[in-house]
Amino acid sequence: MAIVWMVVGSLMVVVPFLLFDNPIDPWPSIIAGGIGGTLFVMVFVFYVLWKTPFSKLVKVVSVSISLIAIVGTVISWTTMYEMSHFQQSLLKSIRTSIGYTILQDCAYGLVLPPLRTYHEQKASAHSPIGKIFLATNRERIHDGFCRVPDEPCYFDIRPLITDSVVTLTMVDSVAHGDKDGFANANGLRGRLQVSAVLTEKGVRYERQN
Amino acid sequence: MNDKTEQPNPDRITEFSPGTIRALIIATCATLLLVFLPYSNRDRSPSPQTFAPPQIVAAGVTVAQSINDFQGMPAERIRLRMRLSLLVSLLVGFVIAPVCVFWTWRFLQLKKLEPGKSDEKKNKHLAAKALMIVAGILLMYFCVSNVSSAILSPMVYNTLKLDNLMDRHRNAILQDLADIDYRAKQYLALPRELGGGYHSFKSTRDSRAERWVTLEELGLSAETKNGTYSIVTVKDDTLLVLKGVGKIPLADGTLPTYEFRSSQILSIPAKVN
Repeated sequence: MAIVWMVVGSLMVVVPFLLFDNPIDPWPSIIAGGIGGTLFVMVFVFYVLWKTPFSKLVKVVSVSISLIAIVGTVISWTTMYEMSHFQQSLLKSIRTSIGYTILQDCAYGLVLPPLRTYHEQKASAHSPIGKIFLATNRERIHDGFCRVPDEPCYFDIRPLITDSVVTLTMVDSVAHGDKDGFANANGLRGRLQVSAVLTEKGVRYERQN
Repeated sequence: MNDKTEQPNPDRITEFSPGTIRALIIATCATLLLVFLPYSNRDRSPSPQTFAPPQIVAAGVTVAQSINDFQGMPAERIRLRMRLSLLVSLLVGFVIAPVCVFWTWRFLQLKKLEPGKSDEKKNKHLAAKALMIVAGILLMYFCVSNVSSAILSPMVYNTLKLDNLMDRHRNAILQDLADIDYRAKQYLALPRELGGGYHSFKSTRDSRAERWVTLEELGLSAETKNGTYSIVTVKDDTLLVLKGVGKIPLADGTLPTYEFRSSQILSIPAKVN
């Protein structure tokens, strides 16, 4: 009879575990297996205590200890789940914050010197701001991309230059943005994207995702 | 004890009966298995997930995956060995240990009520006790680790959330200060007719009064949801010292205060064709 109980219990754990098996995230499978296992333990313990001639005190103490263990297990699993996912979202937000700060710094490093140069020009030799941007950042622009020295390659900066407006569309290919489905300028999805628009009136900086 | 005059006590002989020895061997083998199973991997180092409660292993995997994501690496597939070990720990904790403990307990209770004291019954009794002890240790480990984790982990979680709140608060203030810094640099670059100071942090709103630019003139508010900000000093139009005071008090009751030194951005000489 014990073997039958063991087989039934194993099936109640193994089947949901395998049904929800995920090679990346272990939580769905262990939660499914854990629910099956908890139901089994409750039924089994109550069956044994009911069918065995124990004293009333033993039954009450056993049921109480079993309930404490089950409630403890549920609290422990829930807290661990919440805590690990909280840390996951925390790391995501830290990475996004770092990416945002670096992109903002890159943008201002690229656009403020041309803005200054533009307004320092003499009226006799007045060049448009787009032209000054190109001249100032000539060494940094290759194949339509801006390369900022000392910054990792996953920062994708694409300038769109006209005479009066320079638009920098910047994507951090690692950091997550607000919307997972957002289509980024470099073909990725859901990544942090900001834009900096330079005109003669200054820089307008905007977070797009 | 005089061997010639006293008869040996039959109860003492049964302590070393085949049933007792068998029970001891089972208990010893089970203990050795428990000790050496974590070393069964190739590099002979103990595998932490072998006996760790499954929720702790899963939490560890989630955090490890987040670190990979943070570094821009793709999510790593969980090894089959780890998935099997999670399944085994679930089976041990929820099925094998409880069935062994409660069923042997039931067996011992029923045997206790049966009349007669045969050797065979005593042997079964001892084997059941040995099994109950081993399974009981496993069940106790599983229950104690879960109940202690249920008591401790909410406290850890709350501390973590509080620390994170303070970190976010600090980062928000520093981000606000960085925004002010960028606006100040732009103010230096823009001419007066476009609302800038053109090489100077002096205010352009009132040309008669000799005063430094204010945050309002930079187009910013001195107070945000994160804190209150002010320009502390301006030195020779090249250095701006900003001060930010947070709104959430620190553990000692004081408000967090940060100073931000901003240097004037240098104009890179451009060759305009």
